[in-house]
Amino acid sequence: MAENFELVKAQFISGQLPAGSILAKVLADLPAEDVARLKQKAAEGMLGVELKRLADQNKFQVSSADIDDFIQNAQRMERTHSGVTSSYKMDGRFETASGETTITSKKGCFIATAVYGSANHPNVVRLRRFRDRHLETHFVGRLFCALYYRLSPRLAAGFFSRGKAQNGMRRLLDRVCAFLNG
Amino acid sequence: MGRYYHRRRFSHYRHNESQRAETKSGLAGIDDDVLRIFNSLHGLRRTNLFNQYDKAHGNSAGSYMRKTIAGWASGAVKPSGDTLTRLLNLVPKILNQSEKYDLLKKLYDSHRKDFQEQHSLTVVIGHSLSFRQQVTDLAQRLCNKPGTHTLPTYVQTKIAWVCDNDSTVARRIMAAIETEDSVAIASAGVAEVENLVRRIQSLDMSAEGTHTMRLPYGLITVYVRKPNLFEKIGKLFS
Repeated sequence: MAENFELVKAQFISGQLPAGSILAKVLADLPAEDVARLKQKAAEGMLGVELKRLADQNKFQVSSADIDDFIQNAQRMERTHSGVTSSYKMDGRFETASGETTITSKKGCFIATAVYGSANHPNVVRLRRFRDRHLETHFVGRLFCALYYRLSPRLAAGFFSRGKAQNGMRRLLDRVCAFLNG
Repeated sequence: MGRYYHRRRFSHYRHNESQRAETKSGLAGIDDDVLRIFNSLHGLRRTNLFNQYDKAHGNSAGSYMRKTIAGWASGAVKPSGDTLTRLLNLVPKILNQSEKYDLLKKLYDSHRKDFQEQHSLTVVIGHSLSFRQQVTDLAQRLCNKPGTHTLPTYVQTKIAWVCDNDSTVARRIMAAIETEDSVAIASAGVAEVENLVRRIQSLDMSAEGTHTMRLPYGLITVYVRKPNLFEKIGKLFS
């Protein structure tokens, strides 16, 4: 279909429509002045598209550079936050040539952060340390962490962020932390 | 008597208002443009239009129009729905192709939203191997939409000139331009989705991204994420 339009458009602008085509018949019925005006509109429209394309090329390059910068920063964060007691979240939103790109990169203890209200709460730090020192050192622990990171963002955002569920989870985590301390 | 007369006048006013609103619906304001053009006509074009109006709707309607034109121009009198429909059908006949093209474009642009589609696609890194083809297919689908875009039947019935030959040619030009624009956006969009996948892949920690392509005839949202544990295990056994 797109190729058909391309062909018709090219033929129309150059004035070389096939004699039997419907468009040629329609155009033959129109006064020469009208055909000229339509050609002018077609040329104006194409010029508009070409100008937009040039602007979009520029936007593509600029947004690509911005996204690359964001990714480099995220990789830097990954390196600097690879150890214990570390969490971060980076969000990026970029206007691009074809629309919009958003990127989120994160590392953290989601439920505990939601329950205690801060990623730097002593209990959150304690749990993170336990994860890095004990869980991530063996296969079952890593499996648990992977499962936890898959499920916890949704639970943290919904269930454990309010009311009785938050209080109940906080009491449970307090006991876990007391046990880890003891 | 006075109250009865007042009630009648009020109901007549309300009837006119609803008739006018019905006429204006779906026309994207081109009725105001037509009225503005009509009020600014002079010389041969004006005489030509008056003659056509007399011929189509009779001398009495024509003389009413001549008498009221100053009121319409000043905004003191609003044309009824019937008069508006008459003007909407007659004025474009004396317009040049360029003016008519602009009216038509405004009309099609306003009805484009009825034809717009929304698609979404999830790309799981390392698992959705044919994502490029899927994104290209969706983009291609939206690039083909301009050729199928027609005005609703009620608009075509209201203003018959949108189906004339010259309007058809004008629409084909618009469609070709919209297709060209869509193709440019789509090709940039596919490249941007590929870049997003590559970038998310380069991050070790939890990372995800979305890319929304805004084409004239719709949106394509691509959600890019890393595989979850079950997908990783599933891939090991597949």
